Amino acid sequence: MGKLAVPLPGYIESAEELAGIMRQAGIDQALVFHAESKEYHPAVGNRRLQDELRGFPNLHACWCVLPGQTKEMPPARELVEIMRQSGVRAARVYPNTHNWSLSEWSCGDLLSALEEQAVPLFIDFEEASCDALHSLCRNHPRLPVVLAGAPFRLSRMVYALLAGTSNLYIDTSQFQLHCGIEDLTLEFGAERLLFGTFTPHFSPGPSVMAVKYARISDEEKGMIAGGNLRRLLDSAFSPGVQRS
Amino acid sequence: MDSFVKTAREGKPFSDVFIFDCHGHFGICSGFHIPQTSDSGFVAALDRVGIDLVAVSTFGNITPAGNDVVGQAVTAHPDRFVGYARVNANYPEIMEGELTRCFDELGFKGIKIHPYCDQISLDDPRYRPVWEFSAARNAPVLIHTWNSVRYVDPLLKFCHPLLIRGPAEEYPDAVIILGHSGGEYDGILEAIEVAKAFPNVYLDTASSRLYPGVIKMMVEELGAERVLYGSDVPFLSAVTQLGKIIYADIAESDKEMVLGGNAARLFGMHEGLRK
Repeated sequence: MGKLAVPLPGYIESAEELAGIMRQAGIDQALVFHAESKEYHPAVGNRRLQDELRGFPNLHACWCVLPGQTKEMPPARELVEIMRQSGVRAARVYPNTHNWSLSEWSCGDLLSALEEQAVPLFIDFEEASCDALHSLCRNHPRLPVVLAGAPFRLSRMVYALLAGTSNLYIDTSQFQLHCGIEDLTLEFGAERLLFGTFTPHFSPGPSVMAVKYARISDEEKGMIAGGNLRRLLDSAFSPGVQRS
Repeated sequence: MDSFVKTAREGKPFSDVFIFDCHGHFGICSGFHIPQTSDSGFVAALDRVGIDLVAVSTFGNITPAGNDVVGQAVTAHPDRFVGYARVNANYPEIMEGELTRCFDELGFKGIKIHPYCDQISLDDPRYRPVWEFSAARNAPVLIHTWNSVRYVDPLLKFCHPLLIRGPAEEYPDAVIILGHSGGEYDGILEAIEVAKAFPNVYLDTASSRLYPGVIKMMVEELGAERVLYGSDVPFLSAVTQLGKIIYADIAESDKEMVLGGNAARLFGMHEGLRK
């Protein structure tokens, strides 16, 4: 949500509008990040997100984060604690857009702090190479990593990443491959897929249909449609989470 | 809530409307993995949502071998697949003969060209046999079109929608479907502009870009009779692509035309072939 520098017609900005089109498509809840946290500055966008989501209990905040060396954000563990106090249970990173490295020497502290609290980390496919994602998942095996917006053309990479990791999840929003949801469910289990829509850039209805009409069991659909993400968010900061 | 959205919310097949997908493929793809591309897997996926017919072309760019693969699928499932003859303008000497073979021997009903893959501009004279054949046989030509000012791809110069102005004017009896309607938002605006100018140009809705409001814009600008549901299946899920029409803010009667009525008319198929 939030204002874009270059919006296309039909793009909506406010939480109220977002909640409205979600209702029309039959979507109950959503994880939301603010456009300004990507296009302007994460700290500014995160603050705006907190302000604009007030009064919308079905919209859950996802903060955009940076490594702490430049002191634009608090040190990693302090940042994660502020997230907990703010009720934020998911994070996104934009290493390419924000010009930092996803390698350990650059953001190992940040990744470890998120991993200690099992806070799901969302990464757009354009923001990290598959090699970097694979290394990240291997180096932080208890960090839930969500590959967001992976397109259908990335299928060979997606299959290999899911086969080679246990903590990587795929968002379905742009993985529009013929029978893709069915085949990933068959090969890797429904627990590795998270329903996504890329709203408001895209209309949410078609993505809802992709899950609704998938030839998988109702239980698997329930997991993909919301159960898996709910489980990940509920696990973040839970007392049972073991610190490394 | 209209009856289409209601059916979608219930997850039931669309059994009361004729659905004809004007943009599909058959075979295997080299660029990425696609599951369940056998004809049985393909048909099962169509049945789940209630898609009656798909017009398909080969994935490959070298013909005639690809056309033969499509021919086998059309022969095996004549009530589910309609064939497009894929011709490549780098081989103009076999173009007319291959079109004749595909239509007269394999029973195909349309032509597919891909200027991006051929790396030959859409308005190049080497495509003339296609327009002539289309006009003579009243056969739809599906063209891969794409354009965007937002990213640089040198091959887009071969396939942006405005290039169809010359052939559309020179061959007013040719039946032209702009595949993907230009794809990205900039290309869609071009496709609408050119379709407004030439009544023999139609828009295909297939695109991974699920932009809000685009189907409504096409219908409002051109009329529903000029817009055809297409999916690019099995590159893309036919179901997700169907959702763009189902959830579009247009009248139910317009949805019926876009989903199948228009394609049935263009391809000379009898609406309700299966339903």
